[in-house]
Amino acid sequence: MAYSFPEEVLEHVFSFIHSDKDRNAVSLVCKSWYEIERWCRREIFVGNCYAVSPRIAVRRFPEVRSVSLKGKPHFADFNLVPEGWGGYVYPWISVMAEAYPWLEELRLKRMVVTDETLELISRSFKNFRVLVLSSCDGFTTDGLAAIAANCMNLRELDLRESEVDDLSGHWLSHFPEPCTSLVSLSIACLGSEVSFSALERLVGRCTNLKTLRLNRAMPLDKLPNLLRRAPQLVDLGTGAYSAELRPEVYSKLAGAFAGCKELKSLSGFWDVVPAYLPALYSVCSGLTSLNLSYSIIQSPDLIKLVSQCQNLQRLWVLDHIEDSGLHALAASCKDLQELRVFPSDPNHPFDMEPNVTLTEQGLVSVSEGCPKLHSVLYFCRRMSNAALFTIARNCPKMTRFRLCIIEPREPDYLTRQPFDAGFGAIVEHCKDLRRLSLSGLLTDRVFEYIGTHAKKLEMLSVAFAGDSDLGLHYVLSGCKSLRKLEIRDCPFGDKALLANAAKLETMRSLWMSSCSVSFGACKLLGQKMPRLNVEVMDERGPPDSRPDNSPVETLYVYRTVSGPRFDMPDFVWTMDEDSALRLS
Amino acid sequence: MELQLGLALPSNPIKGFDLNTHFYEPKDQLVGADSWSYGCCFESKNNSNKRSFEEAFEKTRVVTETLPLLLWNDRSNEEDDRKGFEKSFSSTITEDEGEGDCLVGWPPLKSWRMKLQHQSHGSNSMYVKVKMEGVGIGRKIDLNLHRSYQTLTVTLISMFEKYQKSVRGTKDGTQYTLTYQDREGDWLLAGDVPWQTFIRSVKRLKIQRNNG
Repeated sequence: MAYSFPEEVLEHVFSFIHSDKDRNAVSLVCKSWYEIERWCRREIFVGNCYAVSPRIAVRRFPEVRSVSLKGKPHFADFNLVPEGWGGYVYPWISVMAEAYPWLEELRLKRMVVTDETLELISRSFKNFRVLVLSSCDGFTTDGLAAIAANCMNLRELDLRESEVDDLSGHWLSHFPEPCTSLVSLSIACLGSEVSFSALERLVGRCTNLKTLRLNRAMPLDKLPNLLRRAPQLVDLGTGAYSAELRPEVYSKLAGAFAGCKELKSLSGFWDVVPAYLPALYSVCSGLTSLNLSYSIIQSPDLIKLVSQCQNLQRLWVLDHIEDSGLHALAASCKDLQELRVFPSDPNHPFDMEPNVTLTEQGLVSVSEGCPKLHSVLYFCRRMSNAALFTIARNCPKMTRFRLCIIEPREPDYLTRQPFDAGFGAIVEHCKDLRRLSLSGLLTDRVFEYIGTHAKKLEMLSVAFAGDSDLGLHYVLSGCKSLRKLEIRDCPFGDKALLANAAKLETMRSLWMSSCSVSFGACKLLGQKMPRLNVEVMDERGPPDSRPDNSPVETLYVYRTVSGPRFDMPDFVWTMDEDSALRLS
Repeated sequence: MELQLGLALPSNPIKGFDLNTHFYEPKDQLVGADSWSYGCCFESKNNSNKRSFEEAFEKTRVVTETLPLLLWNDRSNEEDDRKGFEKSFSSTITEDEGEGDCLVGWPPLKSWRMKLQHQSHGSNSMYVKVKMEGVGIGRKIDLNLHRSYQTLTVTLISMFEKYQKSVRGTKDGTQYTLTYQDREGDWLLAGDVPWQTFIRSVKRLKIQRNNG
């Protein structure tokens, strides 16, 4: 033993280390630190539920209280992962139900959660407090009723963007009367109206409720009552924000908002009637976060609203804000850190004139006016390299930059050039960039810039870009910190992939769909790299029914310590050592 | 590690790694990245039972022979294969991509947001899942864009047309029936009830092949 601390002291010291990365580093110091650390680890994060088996996880960390798990690939968000792909949480819950009776928190993302699973969760963990289901599916309001009925100490129930089969609004009345522990309730994704009297009682007795996000089915005239019962709310998601215009409704609403002095975050506003927006003005100066991305509000009304919110740090909005609105935002919100602008009409035909004026100018304005801006998601139909240069210079602290020029392979509208130089400027100036999504016309050159400069980049999304294997090679060989790479419709193939096979073991996952990777290369990769799961997805049937040089539709590669998964549907094939032998 | 693939000129993609005796050399190296035409080539597997891995691979020859797939040319890899790889997978970039609905997953918006934004444009939209018997992958359709069975049928036909051709190569012989699952979970024949009643109770759709 090179040190003289007793275990208890070390354990106490470790308890101040919260980041997973640091805990992992601690556990690598020596065997005894590894042992101490694993016994006192209370939180685990598993970025891919197939990267490790639940048994291995609970064996190493026996005393965990909080688990975060992710399932399907990110592209599942965009409908690129067929239903039935996998990501089932049940195997995890059944193991944890045995191993972690004191589990308090579960955060699941893109996983399939059945009612049976929710039932098991609700009965297995004695002191269960937090359930966050983000983009999950497979369950109904019956499963939620089980959670409500059985988890007496529940603090947080957040359904985020899950797809819930909405059988009945009565699940909410299953929260028993003694339950007063809720701090956060987010049900914005539900379709049908929840029982209002149950909600009202629940909100009334949970005096620590800070977050309440309602769904679209909740009518506006109910909101004042709820707000009066919960003046302590910090984060509110309204339901439908529309009603016939009547002075008494307006003044009740305005009065209720004025009573909520703690409000920092607002969302919801479905079906908004702009005439009711001024009812919010009294709380605007306190707001740091505003999500209007479900609401069609025309630019003039948005400008009035946003100008009231001088402390805003985060704004999500539809493109109805237009360049003029973003200009106003830049003038009044000097603390803005995050901006997301979504298309109001994503299916709008590419060749028709859009009905809103949202161009590169809006983003340029914000980059000039908001020095703290560091996270951007921006959908637009027109962009230029010059604009990207300006943005790169204005925002050197950018960490997340996702730009979607809606028409694939659209060039710079001024010069008709590709955007290589523009994105090149972004990666060159923004040294801390961790996440990047590319769009527009791009050649291999942009990947050369990315490989050269984006040393902290962790996640890269690419679509309709590049001209050859060289592009992929630059990224895989250059981006030291890359963990997730997702590519669709790019002419990247075998050479770059195989040449950088070892790199894949350092990453969480690689997705390539509609690229040029051959089945033979997938086989080889699976054969030579036993620590990678190489999965081929093909709607056309078994990939070995086509020649080896035939490209596969989708390749999903991830590292794992638990070998091939066993729950593959019949459109997924794994390329492990055995199967490769069998096939060749 | 044997995977020493120097990065060479992009003309000879496959040469250079061990297994290349198995490979044919495509003349052209722009492999078909024609994603939205993948639907055209669908395997002939017409049972909905899942196969085990072994089954799937040991019976490959049989499966291959029944693969009818490509009835038209430049969109299919299989067609090229049958011709002994004379043709290459070229023309990745089809020009018909302008039809936004052909581009699955683009623009990259979460599907619920797509749905939501549909809803915000006037009539509430109502997406239900549609499956076609013998076709592994389902689709979604917005019923509120339709006012009658007739337009729904026309849309479904165009949505699944490519499969109809490829499944078994039967062109016209096979008849299909549209069924739906109602709120109670029962499967019923679409068309038996008035459209409005149907709209209120439908949860998902299935296109079933008629036997005989």
